[in-house]
Parts: sequence; structure tokens; C-alpha cells
Amino acid sequence: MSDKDRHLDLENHLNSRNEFLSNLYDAKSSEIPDAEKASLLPILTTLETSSERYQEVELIAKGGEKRITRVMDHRLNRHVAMARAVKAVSRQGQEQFLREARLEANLAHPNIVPVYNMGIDPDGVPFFTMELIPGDSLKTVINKLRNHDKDYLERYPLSVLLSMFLKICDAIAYAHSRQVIHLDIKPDNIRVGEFGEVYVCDWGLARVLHTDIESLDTGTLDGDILNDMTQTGMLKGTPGFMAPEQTDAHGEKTVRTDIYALGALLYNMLTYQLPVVGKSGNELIENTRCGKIIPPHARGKSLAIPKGLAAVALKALALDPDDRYSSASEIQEEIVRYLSGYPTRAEAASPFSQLGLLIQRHSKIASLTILFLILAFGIIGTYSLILQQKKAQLVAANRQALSAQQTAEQNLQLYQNKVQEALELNSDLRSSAINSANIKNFNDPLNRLPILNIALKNINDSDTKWKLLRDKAQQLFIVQRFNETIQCLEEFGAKWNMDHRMTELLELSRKYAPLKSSDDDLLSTKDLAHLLRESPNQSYIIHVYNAYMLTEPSLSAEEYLPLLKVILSLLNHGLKEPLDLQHKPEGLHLNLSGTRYTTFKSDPTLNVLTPLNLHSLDISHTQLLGLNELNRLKIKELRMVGLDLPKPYAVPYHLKNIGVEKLTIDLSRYPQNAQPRIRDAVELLEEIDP
Amino acid sequence: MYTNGMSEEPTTQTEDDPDRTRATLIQRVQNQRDEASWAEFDRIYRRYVYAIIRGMNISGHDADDITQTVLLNMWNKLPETEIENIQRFRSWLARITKNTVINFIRKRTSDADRVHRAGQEEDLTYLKTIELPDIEKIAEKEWKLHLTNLALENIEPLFSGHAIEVFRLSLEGLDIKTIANQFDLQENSVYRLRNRVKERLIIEIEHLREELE
Repeated sequence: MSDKDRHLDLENHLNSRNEFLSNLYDAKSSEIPDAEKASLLPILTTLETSSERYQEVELIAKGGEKRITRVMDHRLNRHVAMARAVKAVSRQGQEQFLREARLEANLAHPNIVPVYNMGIDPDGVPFFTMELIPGDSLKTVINKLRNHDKDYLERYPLSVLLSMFLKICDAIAYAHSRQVIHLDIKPDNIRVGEFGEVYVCDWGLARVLHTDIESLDTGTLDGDILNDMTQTGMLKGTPGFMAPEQTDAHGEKTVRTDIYALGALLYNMLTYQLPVVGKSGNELIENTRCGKIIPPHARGKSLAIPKGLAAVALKALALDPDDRYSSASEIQEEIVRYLSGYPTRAEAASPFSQLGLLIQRHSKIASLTILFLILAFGIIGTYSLILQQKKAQLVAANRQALSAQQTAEQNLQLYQNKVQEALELNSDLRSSAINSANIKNFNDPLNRLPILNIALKNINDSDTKWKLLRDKAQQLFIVQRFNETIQCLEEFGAKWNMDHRMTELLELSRKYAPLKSSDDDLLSTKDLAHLLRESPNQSYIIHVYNAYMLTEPSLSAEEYLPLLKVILSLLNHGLKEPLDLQHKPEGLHLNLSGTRYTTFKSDPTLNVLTPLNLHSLDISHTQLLGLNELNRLKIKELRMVGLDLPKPYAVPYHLKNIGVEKLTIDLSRYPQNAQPRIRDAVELLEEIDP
Repeated sequence: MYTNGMSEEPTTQTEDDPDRTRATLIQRVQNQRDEASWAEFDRIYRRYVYAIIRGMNISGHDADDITQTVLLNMWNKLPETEIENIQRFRSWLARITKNTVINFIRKRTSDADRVHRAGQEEDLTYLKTIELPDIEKIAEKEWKLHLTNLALENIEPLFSGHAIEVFRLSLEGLDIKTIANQFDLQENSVYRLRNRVKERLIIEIEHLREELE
């Protein structure tokens, strides 16, 4: 600081001093007056001088039985939403109103509005408070979409609506796991916030399904208290969203009643219309009863409605509950399948649409690229012919290719012209091939390879070509076509420098090719285990295992064991734990207790333990990521003690999925409300205190 | 040890840790002459000394030079000076300051042009008439002002600008209602803000007094 600055600083400081402050020089902190002290403890003081807790700020909504206002909660100093039963005069009516709040309060889920408090206000009106949810109801959103509101069309494309739908399914799946069915799922009862928040509201019609469990645990939902007993024999629900069995006052309401509504909701998201129509309410209900669903494509002339999703909605809307999906998670899986570019189960997918989807999931391609796909398609046919002549070992994939071949032959003539066009549009072809080359996808080598071959034939751009060749080499390697891999890499090596990964690939191929009589054969499990162990760092190595497993080899446990050891180690960051496999009279038993394995899945659809066909499994004291690691397994006896599971409430669901019949578990570790459902799901062999 | 305003509690002596026995800032400066202590000393006392000198009616520019000389003097003399207590330190500081001021004027007088001499002699005469107790009075008044302002400066970062401003205005005698209007706040918020700053300030003053006196 220069002298001048320092002087200025001193002078300024001198002048800015507050003369009054020196009065406080002798003040004592112990002598602050009580009145001032009180204001220093504002929270405590507010609670001590408790006045009215809630103060109304504004009306949010009015309807039916209740009036919802925004209120200030003076105790917690925040705004909350308050519902008051203004119209419920009778005590029964009031009870019914509180029933909903009590039920909702016991459903703790991120997509269900949390209830904070309930009580009777000074006027004697029952009320409950809940989180103040900002944003629109889904109904508003869909109305705006139907009216082509530009802003909403931009904010809510189908992908956003679908991600909201997934969250709604989450909430419903959770409620179902607590034996609660909503019975009034519709856009009006779903609120969406600006930041992706989705809340399923209005559980006024919800029912607790009766179960055999008698439990007095707190937090367990007691249907005898929570179910509405006052209004039997009345139709309840919203026409258009209510299932056929809901139109019958005495119809049996089950989980699948909600599934119907979810289907109607999905339909509504796709078409902005109701799945059933009727000039009057009665006609609508009559049409619901007969299952007269208007096909989605008849609704949306200006809309592109994905077939796969339409099929999902229709399946969920089936007249007979047994024909619908059995759970909300099942619908969810379908949506996820669609979003990741796979055909949905509901869609009887032709090889055409499968191939179309296959390409779609590699890149977002415009119309011209579709021509490219058609071209690819023809080749798949020929390719599968070649495969057919050989000893077909890659069974599962081949099946797919074969059906593709038949269709392709029929359509070959038809597409000839378009293929020609596509070839002429070489530049567009190239751009899509580049897209394709830039995306790493080792999930589907048998479909990927023919596409790569076409692309390689038509592309001379060296920058793209080497990427395609490298991709091809890796795909060939994954399906154990080592000789072709070598050929491919040699072609590559003649023009470009090979990086260390490719060199490693070449070395491995040269080493393992002689172990088989031809490329059509597959390595023995022992050799395959060796191969996996040799290059643990290659990104495609797990896919070598996956591709092999997709051929559905029939293996004895002893044959499979070496492979299992390697793949477990690869999936679990190099961990090597003993695998204690025992033959018991009932079947195979695998004891993994105390191991540090966290996952058993090499792919969302592949469980590495499946080939063992275990009868029983012990996963006690492991660090398993969750019970979904046991998906795709069928196990009769399970021992799971000392597990820290991220979603303990989902345990009964998984146990049923796995088909566990006998269970050893430290039950007290799980949430009290989950315990009876675990007991219900299986036969408890033994309960152990943690 | 002098701690800055961010600490919530005054530093206290811990009996089981003799190494952390507190030495006053003055003792640290005397014993160690380390740079950090000097910087701290400078931060606290430069403004104070400047304030005393300005309180003696010396012009701002001269006051700055004199302050510099006073601090230099202290830097030289402090290590050899025996100061039994801090009260003594402040009267010692006042004495050094007065002497430095007198020396400064005297030197200026002997150097300066005759034409101006008469006027400056007057100054000198005036200064000579200031008795030490008077200087001590000035020093005492300035110290209170200095310390309380230092305390406010220390706690400022703990509060929002609003809170500090509300407090300042209420010190100047504005009533709660006026302040509430000015800031578009609820009256009880103003009241609370003011009291929170005030309470914290009083604690800080107590703490600084404990540290520096």
C-alpha cells in the first residue's frame, strides 16, 4: 500500500467510525434485557407463546369434500398445503376424510405427497396438512398438449411424459407392495413440478387389500380402519380411467384394477384422449364394461404413436384382469425396454421392427437412414443363410436371424429400388455409418456385424473406415470368430497403425483360434475362462462371456465353475473369493456367506449364477448391492442374514420373484411393516437375531 | 492470543496445555517480534494512534507521518520496555505519541520558513499546554471508539448487510418502524435483527477488551 493509499485509508476509516458505538463499551452480555433476549430466541419464543399454528394464505383448490389452501405453518415457518373437510358434516364423513390422510401418511415414497399433520381445527373441522406441491396437474399438461400449446409441446415431449409415467409406476408399485390400491389413478390426480417432480395424489378411494396377516405393528396399514365401509354398493372412480370391474359396484378390485388405470393413463399420454368414449357417462361406463377400447392409432392422426407403447397400453387395458400386466413394475419394464430401443413384449415385434429399433438405438437417424437400414436388412438375410449352412452354434441369435431371412427374401424385390437409392445417397449413408461407428455397442454382435459389413463396402472415407474395421474386429472377437478377427485386423494393420488394444486383440485371437476346429465352434469353458482372465481390462471382455451365455450352452456345474470364478472376479473389481459349492440331496447349494461380492449380473438380463441351477443359496454377510442381484435366479432355499439392503421394503417382492420357499433371515433387521409380508411370502426356516 | 471476530467463543486458557498459555499481543510483540504479531499490532494500533493524533488537531497528512513515526518508535522500544500491565502500555503509548507530535512540530518549525514560524510556534505553544492527563483523556475516548468500531468490523461478516445496516440505523436513533419501512421488513424482524447484532457485538467487545486490555 502506498503512503497515499494508507493515508486515505486511515482518514476514511477515522471518518466512518460510528460515535454511538462507544456507548456499548461497558455493556455486559449478561445484562441484556429479557425482552431483547426473547427476540434472540425466535423459534423457542414462538413455540412458547403458541398461538394459532396455521394461518391461511390463499385458496389453492376447492372441490368435492374438501377445500385446499396454502397456509403458513408458524411453528415450522414454512408454507404447507392444508386440506379441510368443509363439506363433511357427519362424523362418518369426517372420518372418511381423515382416513385418506392417515393412509397417505403411511405411504412414504418420493412420488407420493407427504402428509405432515392432521387434526381438528378450532372450528371443529378436521384437517390435514401436506407438502405444498408446485406446478400443474398432469391433466392441465395433457390439455395444453392437446391444444398444441407450443410451450408445453416443447416442455413435455413423449420422453418426458414417459419418464413421468415411470415415476407414477414407482409410486403405485410401492403402494401395491404395501397392499394399497389407489383405484383413482388419472391425470387429474397427478401433479408435476418444474423440476421433474411427480406426485400421485388423492388417495381418497384407495383401499387396503385384506391379507391374512394379523399384526398390530405401528405403521402397518389396517384395512379395517382405513377402508371406507360406509359406501358399499356405489360406483367409485373416474369413467375412462376406471377398470371394467370398477364399473360393477361389487366387482373385485385388485392390483390389476390399478394396472388398467395405468394403461389408460399411458394411452392418455400417447393420444391425449380417453381410451373409451361415450356420449354420456352411462354409455362410457357401458363401453368400458364391454372393453370397447379405441385403438390408439385411430386417435392420433397428427401424432406419431410408437407401436410398442400403444401395445403396452392396450395390454394394460385388457378387459379380463388376468390378461393385463400383473404388476406396475412389469409395465415399467416395458417402458424402459422401449426407451432403450428394444421392442416391448406386448408388441409382437416383427424382425423388421426389431431391426429398425436396433438401428434406432445406435443413433437417432432421420428418414434417409431408414433406407440404409433396409439395405442392411437384405444382407442380414444372406448372412443368416450362410450361418444356416454351417453348424449353427449361436442358437438364440440365429433363430432371430433366420426369421429375418425369410421376411427379407419376400421383400427383397420390393426394396431393390430403395437400396439403389440409398447407395446413390452415399454421403448420407456415410454420416449414419459414422454415427454407428462412433457408438460402442457390444450387446448385439450378430446383428451389428452385417451392418458393419455393408458400411465397410460402401465407405471409402479412411477416417470412418478404420473405426468400422476396429469395431468389426471387436464384434467378431466377442462371438469367438477368432480367424475372422485375425483377418480383419490384418486388413486393418496393412493400412493403419494398431494401438495396443488392437495388438492385444490380435495376439489373443492368434492364441485362441487354434484351440477350436473352426470359427463356428466355441471354446471350452476352461479355455474361455483362460481367455477372460488374460485381458481383464478390455472393455468388451464381459461381452465375450455374455455372447457365449446367449448360446444357452448346457453345462454341468463342474464345467461352469471355472468360468463362473473368472466372471465373478471381473464383475467385482478383481475380487477372488472362495466358491463353496455343495451337492445336497435336494440339489446344489452355494455358500457365499461372508464374501465381498457386490453383483452377480453381467448384463441387466444375465445372472452369472443362473447356469448353476441352484437349489439353495447363502448370501449372508455379503455386500450385495441389493436383492435384485438375484433376479433371473430360481432358488428354493435362501439364507440371508446380516445384509444391509438399500430397499429393505422390497424384500418380499424379490423373494416372490426368485421363488424362494424357505428362508433364513434376521427379520428384526427389516422395517416392521415389511416383516409380516416377508413372513407371508415364504416359509421362515429360522429367524436369527442380528 | 488475539483471535479474530469469526470465532464464536473468546479464547480461554486451557489448564492442561501450558504451551497454549495466552500471551497478550503486546507480550508477543515484545518477546518474539514475529511478523504476524507485528502485522496484528499494526492493524489494531495504527488506526488508534492516528485517531489520537487527529484528536490533537493535527492535520491528516501530518498525522499519517507522525503515526508512522510512533509505530516505528514502538517497534524499536517495545522489546526493551518493561510494561507491567496493559493500562501502562496505553499511557506509555499516549506519552510516546505526544512526544512524537511535539518533536515533529519542533523539527518542522526549525526547518520551516520564517514567515510561517509565528503560526507554527502557536501550534507548538498550544501543544505544550496540553497536559499528559488531557492526552490520556483523548486516548481513552479514542480507545473506546476504536475498540467498539473494531468489534463491529469483526462481526460484520457474520451477518447479512441488512442486519448490520438495520443496527447502524437504530444506533443513530431511528425507530424500528421507520427502519422497517425503509427496508420493507416486518417490524419484529427489524427488532430481531437489531438485537441479534447488538448481542453479538457486546460479546465481541467483551472479548476484545479481554484480549487487548
